[in-house]
Amino acid sequence: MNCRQFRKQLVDLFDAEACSESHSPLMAHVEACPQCAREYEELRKTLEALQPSRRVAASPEFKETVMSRIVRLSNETVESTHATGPGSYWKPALSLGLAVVLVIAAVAIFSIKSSAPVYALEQTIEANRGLRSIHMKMTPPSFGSVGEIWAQFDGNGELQDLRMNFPDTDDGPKDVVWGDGKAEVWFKKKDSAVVVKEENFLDKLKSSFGSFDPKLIVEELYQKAAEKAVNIEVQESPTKGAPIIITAALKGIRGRRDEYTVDPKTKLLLRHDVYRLKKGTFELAGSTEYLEYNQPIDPAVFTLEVPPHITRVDQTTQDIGLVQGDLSDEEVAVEVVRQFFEALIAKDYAKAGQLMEGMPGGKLEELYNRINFVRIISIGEPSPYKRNRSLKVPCKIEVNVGGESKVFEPHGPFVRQVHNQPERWTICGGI
Amino acid sequence: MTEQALVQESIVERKKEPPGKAARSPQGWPGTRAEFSALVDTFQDQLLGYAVRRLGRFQDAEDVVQDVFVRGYARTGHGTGVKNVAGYLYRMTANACTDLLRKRKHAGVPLDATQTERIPDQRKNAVEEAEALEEMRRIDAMLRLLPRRQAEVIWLRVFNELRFAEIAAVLGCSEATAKSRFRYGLKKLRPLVERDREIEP
Repeated sequence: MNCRQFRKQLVDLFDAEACSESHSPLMAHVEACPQCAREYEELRKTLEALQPSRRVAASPEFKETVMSRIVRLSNETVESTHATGPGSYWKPALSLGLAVVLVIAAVAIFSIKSSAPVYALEQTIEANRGLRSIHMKMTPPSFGSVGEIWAQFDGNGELQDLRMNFPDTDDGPKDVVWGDGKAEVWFKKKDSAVVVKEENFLDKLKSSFGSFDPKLIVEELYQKAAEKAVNIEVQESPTKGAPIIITAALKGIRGRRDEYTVDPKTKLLLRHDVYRLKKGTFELAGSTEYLEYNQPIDPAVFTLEVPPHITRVDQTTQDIGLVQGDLSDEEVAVEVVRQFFEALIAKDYAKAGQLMEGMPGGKLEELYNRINFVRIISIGEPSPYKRNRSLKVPCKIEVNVGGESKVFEPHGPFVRQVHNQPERWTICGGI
Repeated sequence: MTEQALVQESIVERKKEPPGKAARSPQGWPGTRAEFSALVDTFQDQLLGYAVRRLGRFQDAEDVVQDVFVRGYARTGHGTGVKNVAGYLYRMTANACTDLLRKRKHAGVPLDATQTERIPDQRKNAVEEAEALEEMRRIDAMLRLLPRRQAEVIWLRVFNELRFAEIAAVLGCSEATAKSRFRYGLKKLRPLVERDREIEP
C-alpha cells in the first residue's frame, strides 16, 4: 500500500466496530511510514479526546411508558376488531366451569393413524384431580407476561401459595409472591419491594393472564369441545412412550392453533404450544412447559429474598397516604402534596414518607437532608397524568441548598389512590 | 425535579464498550412485541442522546423518541421493507426533531430554553453525573464550532457509535460523504481538543 492509497482509506480505521483484520494492510502501512503514522495518530488522539465516558441514557420509566402505550394501543385494536392480537394470548375465551358432561370422543376427530388405546381429554382432567403443586415455564417471556410460575394447592384444590416471575413488564422485571391475602412484589429494576393487600388476587390473575393452571386449561378445552367451539385432533403414536399430541383450532378464529402435549403414562399435560399463522405457515408463538407435578416445592420459593439495601414498604401493616373523606380527587391530591411539603419543611420525614407510598422516613431523610425546604410558594391545579394514571399537581417550593435560596419545581408530583385502598391517596413519584 | 436534574438523572456511567452492542443492528424490523421490546432496549439510549442534542431539552427528547417507538410499533409484523433498522429509526427521530424545532420557532420559544433552576441531585453519584453532563456539554460546544454537517457525523460516530454506513442512512448522504465530513471535521477539531487538554488539571 502506498501513501496515496492509505490516505484514501485511512478513515475506515475509525469506523465504529471497525474490524481489525480487514484493516491490517492499513495498519501495516502505519508501521512502515512515519508521516502517515503521524496523520493517523492525530486523528486517533482527537477522536479519543472526544470519547465520552458517560452518555445520556433513558430513565427506567422511559421504556415502561413506551411499552405501556404500545400495549394500550394494541389492546384497543384487539377490542375494536375482536382479533386475537399478541396481548390476548392468555385471555380466556370462555368462562370457567364444567357443567356439560359429554364424551370427548363424540366431538374429537381422531387421526387415522391412532390405533392402540384411545386417549380422551377426561383422562387428563382426572389425572389433574388432587393436584398439589406445579412448576411451569413460559417461553418466550414476552412483554407483560409471566415467565415462570410455582403454585401450591391445598387439600381442596384451592390455591395456597403462588410465585410468579415477570421478566419484562411496565415496571421492569418483577417477582410476585402471593399467599394469605397478601402479595409481595419485588421490582428488581427499581430496587424496591412492596407488600399489598390482595384478597382477590386470583380473580385479577385470571382476568389478565387467563388460566395458567393445567387443570383449568384442559377443562376449558373440554368445555369448548363440548360446545363444538373447537376442532380437536388427537394424535397417538403406536410407539410406546411417545407423547399424545392434541391439536386444537378454535372455530371462528383463524391464524391460531394450540397444541397440547400429554404424557401417555400419567396423562398429565407436558406442554402447551401456541402457533400463529404467518405468511401462510403456522409458526410457534409461545409455549408453556409443565415441569414438575406434585413435587414438594421449597418454601423459600414462596419467600422473596429481597436484598437488604432495597427499600421495602409494607402497605398491609401501616396506613399509607391520606384519607379522602369528603374531598374531591383534585382536592385530596392538592392536600397530599401540601402536607408532604409541610412535613419536609418541618423535617418530619416519617410523615412525609407515609404520604409517599410509605417510604421509610430514614430513606427520605437520606435523600433530602441536604436541602432545607423553606416554604410552599404555590400549588397549582391538578391535571390527569396519563403515564401512571395519576393526578399531576404542579407546585413551586422555595428551598435552601448550601446557603443559597432556590425555587424547586418538580416535574410531578403525581398523586393517586393507594393500591386496593381507594379511600387513601398517596404521592407515587415525580419529586 | 428540574429539567437539569432530569438530564443529570439520565446520565449513567457506561463502559467504553456498551453492553448489548453486538446486538445493535437487528436483522430487519421486529415481528413480535417481544422483539420490539428488545429493539427499544437496543435503541432507546442512542435515539434519546441524539434527540437531547437536537432539542436541548430532555423532556422534549423523551416525548419525541417515545412517539417514534410507538409509531414504529405500528409497523411490527409488516415492516418487512425496512432493511436498515438503525437508519430508519434515526431518520424518524431526526424528522420528528425537525418538526418540533419548526413548531417551536413558530411559537417563539427560544431554541436553547434549557436554563431552569439548578437543584443539586440528591443521589449518590450526583457529582459524577453532573461531571458527565458537563463533559457532554464541553464536547458539544466544540462540535458546534464546526459546520453543522460535519458536527452531525462526528456526533453520531462518537455519542451514538454508529457506523459510517448507518450515519449515511441517517443523514441521507452517501457513505463516502459521511466519511469525508468525519475526516475534515475531526481535522478541524484537533487544535481545539489540544487546547482543551492543556487547560485540564
